[in-house]
Amino acid sequence: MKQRQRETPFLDRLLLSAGPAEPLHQKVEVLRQEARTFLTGRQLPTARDEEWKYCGLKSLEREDFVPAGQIAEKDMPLDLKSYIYPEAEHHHLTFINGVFSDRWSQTDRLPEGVIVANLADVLKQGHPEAVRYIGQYAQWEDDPFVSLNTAVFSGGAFIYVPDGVHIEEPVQLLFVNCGVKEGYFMAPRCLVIGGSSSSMTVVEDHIGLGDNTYLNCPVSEITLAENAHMTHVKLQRDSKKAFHISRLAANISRDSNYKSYSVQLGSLLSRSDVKAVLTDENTHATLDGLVMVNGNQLSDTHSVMDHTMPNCTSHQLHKCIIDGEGTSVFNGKIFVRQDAQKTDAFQENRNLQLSNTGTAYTKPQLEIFADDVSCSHGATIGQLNAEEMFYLKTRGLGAARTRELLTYGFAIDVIDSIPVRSIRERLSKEVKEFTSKSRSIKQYA
Amino acid sequence: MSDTQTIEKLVKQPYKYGFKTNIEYEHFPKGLNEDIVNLISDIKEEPAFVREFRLKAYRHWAKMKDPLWANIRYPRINYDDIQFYSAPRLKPQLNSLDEVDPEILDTYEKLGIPLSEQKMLAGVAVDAVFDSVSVATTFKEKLADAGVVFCSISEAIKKYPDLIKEYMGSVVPYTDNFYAAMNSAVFSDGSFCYVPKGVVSPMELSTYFRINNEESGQFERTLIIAEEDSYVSYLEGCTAPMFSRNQLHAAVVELVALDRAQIKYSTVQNWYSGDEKGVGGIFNFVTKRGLCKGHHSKISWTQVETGSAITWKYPSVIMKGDHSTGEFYSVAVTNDLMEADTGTKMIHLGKNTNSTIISKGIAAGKSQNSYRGLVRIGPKAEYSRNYSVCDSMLIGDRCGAHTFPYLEAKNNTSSVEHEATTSKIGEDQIFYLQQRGLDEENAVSLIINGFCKEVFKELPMEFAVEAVKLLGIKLEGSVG
Repeated sequence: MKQRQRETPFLDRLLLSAGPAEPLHQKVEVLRQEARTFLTGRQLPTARDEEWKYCGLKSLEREDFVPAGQIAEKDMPLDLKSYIYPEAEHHHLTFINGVFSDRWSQTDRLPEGVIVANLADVLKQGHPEAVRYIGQYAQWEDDPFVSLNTAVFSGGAFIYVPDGVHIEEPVQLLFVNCGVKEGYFMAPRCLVIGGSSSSMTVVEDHIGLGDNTYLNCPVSEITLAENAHMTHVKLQRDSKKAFHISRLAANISRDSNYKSYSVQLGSLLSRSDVKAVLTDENTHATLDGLVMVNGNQLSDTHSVMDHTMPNCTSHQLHKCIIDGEGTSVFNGKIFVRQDAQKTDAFQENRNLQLSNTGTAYTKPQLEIFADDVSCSHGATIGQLNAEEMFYLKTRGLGAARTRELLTYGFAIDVIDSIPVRSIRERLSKEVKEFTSKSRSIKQYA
Repeated sequence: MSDTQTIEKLVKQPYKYGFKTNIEYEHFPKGLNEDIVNLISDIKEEPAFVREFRLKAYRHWAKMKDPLWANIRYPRINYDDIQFYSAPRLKPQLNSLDEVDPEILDTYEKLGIPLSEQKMLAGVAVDAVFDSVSVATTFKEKLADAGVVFCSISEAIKKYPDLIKEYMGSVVPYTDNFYAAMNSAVFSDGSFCYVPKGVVSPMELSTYFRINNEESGQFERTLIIAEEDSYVSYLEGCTAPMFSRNQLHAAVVELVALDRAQIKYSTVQNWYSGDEKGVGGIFNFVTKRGLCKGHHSKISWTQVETGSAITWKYPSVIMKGDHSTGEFYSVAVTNDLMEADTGTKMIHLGKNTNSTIISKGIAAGKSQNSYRGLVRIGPKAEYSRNYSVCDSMLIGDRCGAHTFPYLEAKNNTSSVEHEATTSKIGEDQIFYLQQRGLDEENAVSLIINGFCKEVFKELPMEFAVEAVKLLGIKLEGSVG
């Protein structure tokens, strides 16, 4: 095995072990062929690539993975009920170790015309919208992970909301990973299509139940027609030894509103690339994020907010809490193209360093080609405010409790605006767990 | 008159320093190889260690490739077509201004820096570098009384070889980057300044650089050493005649501040920027770096960048000593087809170090203006602070403003703050000023000056006046 590792590049090894993917649709086959050609002989990016400057993939390269479908214990007798949000009781899709689970998925009580299904089935049936949009938006120059997903994906979620339809309750996508010994990789593909004047809330949950190593490489594509509204919450709590490399591309049309909240808690190495393209006038996009790292975790978020047309607004609040030997990386790009006059774009990145051994890297980036715009960004790296700590201490709180409370407050800022109550509650529980476990805070107890 | 017309009229201000002085040159073969490096060393009668330094740098450079990462686009430079050394043909030794070629003095007169006049009026000591060679240093004696050494670097190599040996290449090693390696191999002259312990330089030191020869590049090297408890303020100004060919300027500036020493380095750069179609102009690839070696030392960079077709320049400070301070104040103006990729690096190594970055970018015409900055707080740089502000202003919808700040922090007692905004001159602001009786031109000029005020106030008096004027010429009324 060692010999093979040295000779064959990582991506080729993955392709080889994946074998030919199950045929889904003619168009997908063309995309897969292109992706395979692109990947063959390609090396993983290194620190010499600007986009991967602070995110080394050496530890990933050493691993060997088999495709998720080959894992024997794929349908373990688990009780996953507790992971389903009460609001999403009637419409959720579950994937266990990357494989679609009929048993744990439910899609009843949906308004007429709405489709929530396994993408593989939809493509096989040749759903015209699915075929039309697949592979259209997830495009990153020189990025092997989108191509990897395209080449090997065998399932994922497909959500289609027709014109004028509102889904009141959230749709949940649950990706559960059990503690399987053998290292595997999964590449779920999600496609979300919002018709004009439609609205929906989608919650994407990636959970690692064990302490095992695997590679989770999801790609999501979202397209919103005129006046569509979508709230998208992503919670990543993969296993502490997992690799999570995700790509999300959203294409937003006139008068529509896309709000994305991404919370990264798990994985040894997580890398998340998010791209929102505002393709027409009067659109709004929000890309908020919360990252909490501990131990030797590394979490890297790259975002692109692309303003191509006039009169659009965007908002981005990205917060990172760094504990232990953790590393957080943020690179937020805002592009304002020549035609995008009267753009109002705002980006804020705040990093809270709890431990003396953590590292924060941030690179907020503005690229502006239009003159009548109001764009600003702010980035800070720092600690808890001394005055705030003093105040809480005067109210009788201990040093550790003070820090815990303020750290919680720092994080909750991002979560608070999420519209679904049970999601907010679950996320704040996660934050509390993080702060109560933090050694940097405990040392003051 | 419509705004666009006003813009066009005012942007088309001719480059007033575009004259060429006819002086005989000591001509020199083109291209760069070991023989050329040896030849430069021979001409300058340098000691062995300098020759060795040049050769090592050349050998390293030969292995390197042009850096292409910056946000600038320009045709590949043919290094074989450049004359790496060019000096006005002069009498070998200069003791006073009278010995300087009157034509050169005339040139400086046209530039508005008459050496003799400044000597009396401004009290500024000037070292003038013409193409590559230092032609005159004024006020040497008065400085010598105070103990300050201010001379050309060629002279310093002969007179103070120990200092040169110790400090040259200590801040910017020849391995640093492509242009620093090239400069280390072929540097022709530049200024040297040494301020001894406890001395506060009695006057502002100043160097004027001018490229006069069409085929030559200018590769000057400046070294400033401030010993314990000393203070020096240094000014640098640059101009060049108009040629339709691009000329190369690749300088290296090294500053060393020991315990409690302060160095203030100000630049007003107005190299020829090419015509409106982007023909000609200077490629300005400069490596400037200061080392706060001692504790409580301070290095401050102030720059007003209004010229050059391409600017690639990142004056940096390494804060090695505890409690040291680094500052960077910059105004970068681009117009027509100019491109600037400029900013700073603040490297915090010592404890309780402080840095401030104020950067103002103004882009007009079809130009591209980038701020690229790095703030790095090392694991041992406890209780360090950085504060950065970079604001951009766009004039017209054909230009671009880019911000690339890199912030890195590796301990939990330091804080880094960065903010950036992009805006345009508001119609309501212009309207208000017009209502108060200012014409449109003056209103715009006032607003732009207000935008840059934080930086201008850091400049020494004479430079601030010049900078304001320069900005006026470059941008007058190009806003509406």
